[in-house]
Amino acid sequence: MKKYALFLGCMIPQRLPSAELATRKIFNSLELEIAEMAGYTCCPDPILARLMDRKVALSMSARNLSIAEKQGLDIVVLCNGCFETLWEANKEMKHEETSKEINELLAKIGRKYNGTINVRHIVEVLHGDVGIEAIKKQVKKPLGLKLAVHYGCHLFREENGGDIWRKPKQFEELISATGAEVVHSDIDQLCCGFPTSQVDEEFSLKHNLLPKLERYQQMGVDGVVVVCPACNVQFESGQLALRRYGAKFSIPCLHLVELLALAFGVPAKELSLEFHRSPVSQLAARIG
Amino acid sequence: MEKSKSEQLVLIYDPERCTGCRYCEIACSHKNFGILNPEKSHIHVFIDDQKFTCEAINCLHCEDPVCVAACPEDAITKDETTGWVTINPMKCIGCRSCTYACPIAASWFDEEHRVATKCNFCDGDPNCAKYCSSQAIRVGTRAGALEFAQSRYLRKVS
Repeated sequence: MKKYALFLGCMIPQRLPSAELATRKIFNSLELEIAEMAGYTCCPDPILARLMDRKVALSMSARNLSIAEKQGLDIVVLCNGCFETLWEANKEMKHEETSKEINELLAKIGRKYNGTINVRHIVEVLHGDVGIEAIKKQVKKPLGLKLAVHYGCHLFREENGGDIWRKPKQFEELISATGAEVVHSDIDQLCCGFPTSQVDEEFSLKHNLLPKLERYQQMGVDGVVVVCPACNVQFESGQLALRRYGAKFSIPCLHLVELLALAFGVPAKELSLEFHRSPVSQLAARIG
Repeated sequence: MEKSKSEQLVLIYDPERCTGCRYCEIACSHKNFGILNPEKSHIHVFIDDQKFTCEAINCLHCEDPVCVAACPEDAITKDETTGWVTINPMKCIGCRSCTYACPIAASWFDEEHRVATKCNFCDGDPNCAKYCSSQAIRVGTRAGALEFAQSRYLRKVS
């Protein structure tokens, strides 16, 4: 049985606990074991925290990585932002000078990170380690839904010169494995606006989120699937915030793991979907 | 040893990779002004509200910069070794000639400090490229940038 250290980050426990529940359910079905990361902290934020103080940000990341390394396990993350932060930190910690500098700090709290583990996005684990066929075997309720896909910017992070579409394509194939139809548009790649919402909310709502929602509405999708809780918050809270500007939308937005759990036949009430601020519970009720 | 002009480093922007997240603007403003404000960025990404394609406006550090020619105070110089075009704020008198002369308005007038300002290439490690998840912004040689621009143009017209 393959085992991973599950890194939940901040947003999933606070804003999207249903994604954690769904992950535990689908890992159980797929015979993947989860190790808890006791004492983990914020990853921290992939851009802002690194901009503010690289050393503090890297120390926090390395400390998180050391928790998984102590258990000899790779980290799996459910968030694009956490992926970029921890993946970048893991790469930086491979440099001798950086590793020495950060480990001197970690030594003060009795920790050390040797750079021996990998940071894996949930999409890579499900697509690469489990495989599409094994996922399809677990689908008890094929989803006859039309779904839009929102990749999220940090999902594109690869080694320089790498194929930035590797993980997004895996993500689409995982949605299709549930029996749902992925409906594409010319706006799939566009950022949801979460990054600029932190500095200019109105701009992010009107120039990123609004055109995406308008296009989804035109296409008549049943919902939009994400692999990042920050994107989820932007889609859900953003729909509510857009009402201030007279734009009313009610498009369900859910995480890939929740979609898989529903397709695997997990009852909606076991997923606490009511934490969502978009009509995900209603979407789940249609699946039955 | 002086680099040949074709080997000098510039920013290469690929709109097909851009997601319009504007993290580049946030990263630039933080590096140059210590604040998180896209308005204070030397690079700007625009999203076409009909086609939803992105385009960036940033200084190309021209081989023969018109901003240098337009400056009445010789406040703008081009480093012949690196190729980077920079503004000396101590010499700038805030006349805005460079902002009008530049065909893409890459230099802009900073109301707070009353001087013109622009991309300084972050001493060779531009923050905008460093924080671009989809690698839409990268650092490459001028020759590479020209080759990319030509292939992009040919792709569009073929």
